[in-house]
Amino acid sequence: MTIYILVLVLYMGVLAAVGMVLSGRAKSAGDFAIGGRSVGPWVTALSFVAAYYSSVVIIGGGAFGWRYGLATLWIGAGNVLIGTTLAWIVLGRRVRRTTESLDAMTMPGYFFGRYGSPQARIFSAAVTGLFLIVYNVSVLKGMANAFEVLMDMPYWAGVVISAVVILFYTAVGGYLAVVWTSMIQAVVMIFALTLLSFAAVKKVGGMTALVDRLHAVDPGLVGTPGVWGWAGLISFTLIVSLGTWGMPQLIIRFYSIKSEKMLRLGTVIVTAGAAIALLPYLSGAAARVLVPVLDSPDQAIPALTRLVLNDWGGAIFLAGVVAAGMSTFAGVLIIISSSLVRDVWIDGLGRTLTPAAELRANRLMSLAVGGVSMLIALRPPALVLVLTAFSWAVIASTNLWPLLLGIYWRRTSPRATLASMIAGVVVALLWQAWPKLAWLPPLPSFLADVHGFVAGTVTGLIVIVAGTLLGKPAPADCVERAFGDPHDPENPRDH
Amino acid sequence: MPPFHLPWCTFGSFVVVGGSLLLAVTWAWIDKRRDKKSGKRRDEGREGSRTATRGGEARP
Repeated sequence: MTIYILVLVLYMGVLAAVGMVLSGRAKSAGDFAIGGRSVGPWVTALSFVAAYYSSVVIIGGGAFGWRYGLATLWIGAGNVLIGTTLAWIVLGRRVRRTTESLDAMTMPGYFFGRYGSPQARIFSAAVTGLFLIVYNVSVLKGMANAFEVLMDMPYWAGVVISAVVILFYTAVGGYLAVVWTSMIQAVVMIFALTLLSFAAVKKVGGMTALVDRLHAVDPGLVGTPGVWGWAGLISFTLIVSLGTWGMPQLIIRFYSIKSEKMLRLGTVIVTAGAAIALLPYLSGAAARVLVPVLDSPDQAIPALTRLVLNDWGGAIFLAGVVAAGMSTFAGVLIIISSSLVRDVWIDGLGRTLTPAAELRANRLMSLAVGGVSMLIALRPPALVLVLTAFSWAVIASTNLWPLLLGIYWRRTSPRATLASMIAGVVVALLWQAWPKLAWLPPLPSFLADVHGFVAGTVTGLIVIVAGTLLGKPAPADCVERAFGDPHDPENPRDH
Repeated sequence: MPPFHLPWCTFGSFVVVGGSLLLAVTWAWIDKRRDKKSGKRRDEGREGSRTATRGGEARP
């Protein structure tokens, strides 16, 4: 227990120190929200990895691996190829250039600048803000559960300690503190997951022995799609892979990188770092062999940790789980607070703030939002846990197509964008709630395993394309500004 | 025999991860070459306009 406390105190002390050191560099709202577009490729790439993989992925991914076997490695593969490499290649450069041209610091702000649509801005800000708070509650809960299981710490203490440290370095240091601490956390996560996976596979007797022993339990734990089936495997892989293309806390990395050409090195680094996505599922599958009886699959990773790692290893692994949760929580906090101040208070309600006042407002808002998340996490209502299951689906259904088509297709219509956002959200929510709505007929069996994210994004795509072909494009000045060269002195960037 | 006795369809996930890294490196290299070429074309364009200007100045 002493070792656990020592490692965690040291780790959290480093995070707080980074926040303090960087606090002086946040001199404006732009610095607070996107680091003044000054972040290098290594920090951008590794902080992307840390923000992408939360404690939910480590614990939940392990649970999936335990339950469904090695077919779940495809989820990790999808995270790497679609969620990371292709996202950086397809989105990175254009998002960087367009958001600089439009001087946008948030995703709702981008939608307003690109489409001239205050409605799209407000809708995106509202949906994203609400569901990111829900997501953040689940991340805090995951960290607190990890403290509970591995350190016998009371749940409430885990919530409070995690939240206080995160709120400190986020409110004090802003985006720069978040990305630098996230980079450190990515290194801890990579080390911790590699340590656990290596120890687990070694305990089983090697990779070949793992496959053979899983096959002996159930051949479906080794094959693809195995016991899960294609619908479940594909739709879940799509949520957590393609879903990143609409998640503001990940896309913002493209806003803040120092230059477009740094995206080249960043893409290689982030792909290498993202490969750890395979490890929770691999560890979970190993846990199925080593710990075949569990009350709940969520116990797979904690139980495996106790079995294969000593106290030092366990403490490092706990630090990795906490690192995953903290980096995600902090990244989301920056998004929500800067969006509430910039998109809702200033641009939405027409309020004016001096630069110093806007910076102060961002700090206070991050404390307020984080505090609310902490209070909810102390006693999360059942509804929160239900909503968490599709928070990614709803957020991605809202933002994905308006962003992707907005940076490639000049003609994309503002009204079609808003309609796509609304349709995507409604269909995603309705699809997920369908089994519980007694007045609706049950879905056909081949559709029942398809996640609401798939239904929401397919609907959103149809609506935005059809609406664009039938409707009018955005005002010419918005389009010219968005697709202009941000370094061209004649680019009409003034709004 | 597939590596580690894994079915090929499951082993494919490792291939995809390795392929993603290869894709990232390849894209970075192609992008760098494209930037160099467009940089050369911009420089040649500027050189061409400077030559035209000098030629124009030489005319009465």
